[in-house]
Amino acid sequence: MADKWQLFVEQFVTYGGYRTVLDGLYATIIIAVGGLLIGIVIGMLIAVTKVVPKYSAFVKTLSRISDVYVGFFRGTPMVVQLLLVYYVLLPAMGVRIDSAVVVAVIVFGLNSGAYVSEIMRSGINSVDQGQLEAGRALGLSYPTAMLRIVIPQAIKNIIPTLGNEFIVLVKETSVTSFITVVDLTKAFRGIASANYEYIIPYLMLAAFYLVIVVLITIAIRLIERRFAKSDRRVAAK
Amino acid sequence: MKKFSKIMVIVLALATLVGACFAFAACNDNSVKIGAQQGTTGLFYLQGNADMNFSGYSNISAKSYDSIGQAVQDMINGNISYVVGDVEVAKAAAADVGGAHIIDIPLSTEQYAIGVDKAQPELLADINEVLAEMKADGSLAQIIANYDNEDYEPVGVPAGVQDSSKNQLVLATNAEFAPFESKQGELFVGIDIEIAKRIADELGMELVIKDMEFDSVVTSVGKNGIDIALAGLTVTESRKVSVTFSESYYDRSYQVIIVKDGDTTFDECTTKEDVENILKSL
Repeated sequence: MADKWQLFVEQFVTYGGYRTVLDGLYATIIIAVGGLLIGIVIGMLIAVTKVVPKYSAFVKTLSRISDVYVGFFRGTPMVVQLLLVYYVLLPAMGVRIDSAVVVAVIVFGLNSGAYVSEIMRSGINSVDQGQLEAGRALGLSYPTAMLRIVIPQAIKNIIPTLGNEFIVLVKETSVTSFITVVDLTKAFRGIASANYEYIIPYLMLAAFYLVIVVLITIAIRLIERRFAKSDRRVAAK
Repeated sequence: MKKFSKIMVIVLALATLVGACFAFAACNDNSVKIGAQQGTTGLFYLQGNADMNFSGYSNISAKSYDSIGQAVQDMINGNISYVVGDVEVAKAAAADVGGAHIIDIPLSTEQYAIGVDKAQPELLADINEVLAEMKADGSLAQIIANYDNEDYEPVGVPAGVQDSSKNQLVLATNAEFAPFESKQGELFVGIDIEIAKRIADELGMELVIKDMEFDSVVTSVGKNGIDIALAGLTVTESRKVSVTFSESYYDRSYQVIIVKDGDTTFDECTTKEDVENILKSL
């Protein structure tokens, strides 16, 4: 074990492998955070088209389109989507993107949007119908009532599930090496295959992901507590 | 509701039956398992490939791994019987993992070449010119000989940043294939890397290395700015669909079998036929 540790230290410290790992960590975080932010925006838009009353043909069409979108991105694995966009779609459109990380962020965003839309929809549905009705009765327009009354309460309800989605995204980044991104997993695989010595690099890799996820879990709990402050104030009265 | 629960029971029963069948088949799978790296000639050799004149083995189930080192490790762990791989890489992997050695009998003959973007015939001509020059002045042979020498300290090459506004040579590779390409910390080393560096220098271009899955190396060429592929690529007809190959720079590669130390199955073998007869009779 000692010589294995020595081999790892040589690759990680002496030859500067830690810099690749830090770059990989950066890529992993950028992709997960960027993906989640894009996902929340897309998800919110789709969720709203799903819950608004479907009187006009326009809303019906939008709802139909988002059905197809959610169906595709939930129905195919992330790797397949990455491969399709990077090796088929972009070359076919003649687009040339230097940074594969950008492609990964976009695909992760689109993928996450599909999941977040369902999370959002359940969040909006969890808010009592009376809230919207009260807002409308007070003379707020539908969009204002939605944006100011329903969605803030919905977001509070879905924070734990959104956190879950974020954790999934962080771990999914391990497949981005298929489209030439050097993420955390790829960085450690480089170190491992330098000497074909897997034990320590893979244990370290697992530890890195574990620490990231634990930190996210703590952050989510703090955010939840912050959002719950108003609840307690009401309860205290 | 009654109807629904009836359907559910039938579906569940069917699922259990199918699952049991699969489990039974898996337990009764007596075929010998041999490993190879995903997308490499070794795997084609085991599975059979008309393009490369490999007939394959019906009694062997080929298992694919992300890198040959993982395959050797899995063999040491007792999950597969043997590993097939390119001779130089197999030798390095067997030595690094330990407890395994190669049976040095060529099961194939292969040539490595550089895969070049089909849309850049000028680049292909330039690369062939540099390769011819390197063969003539002996520097190619020197690079290859260096990696045979255990004391050789390779000069690492950084990955670089891709930027389409600059004059760059963007290289696709899978740096899990020592001694042809591997990582040394954050830098890349290996025979292929040194060749690519020389080509880039001669052409006055900046070398950018994109490290990816071996499966993606050939398909990525010509897409998103990737110009060439150097990853111990054996020249095959199917790969020629995606890239044009340069002149060969290495023609001493062949597939070998890696066995655990103490496994004497192949010790009597002297020719390719001997090895293949044993493989067929496993």
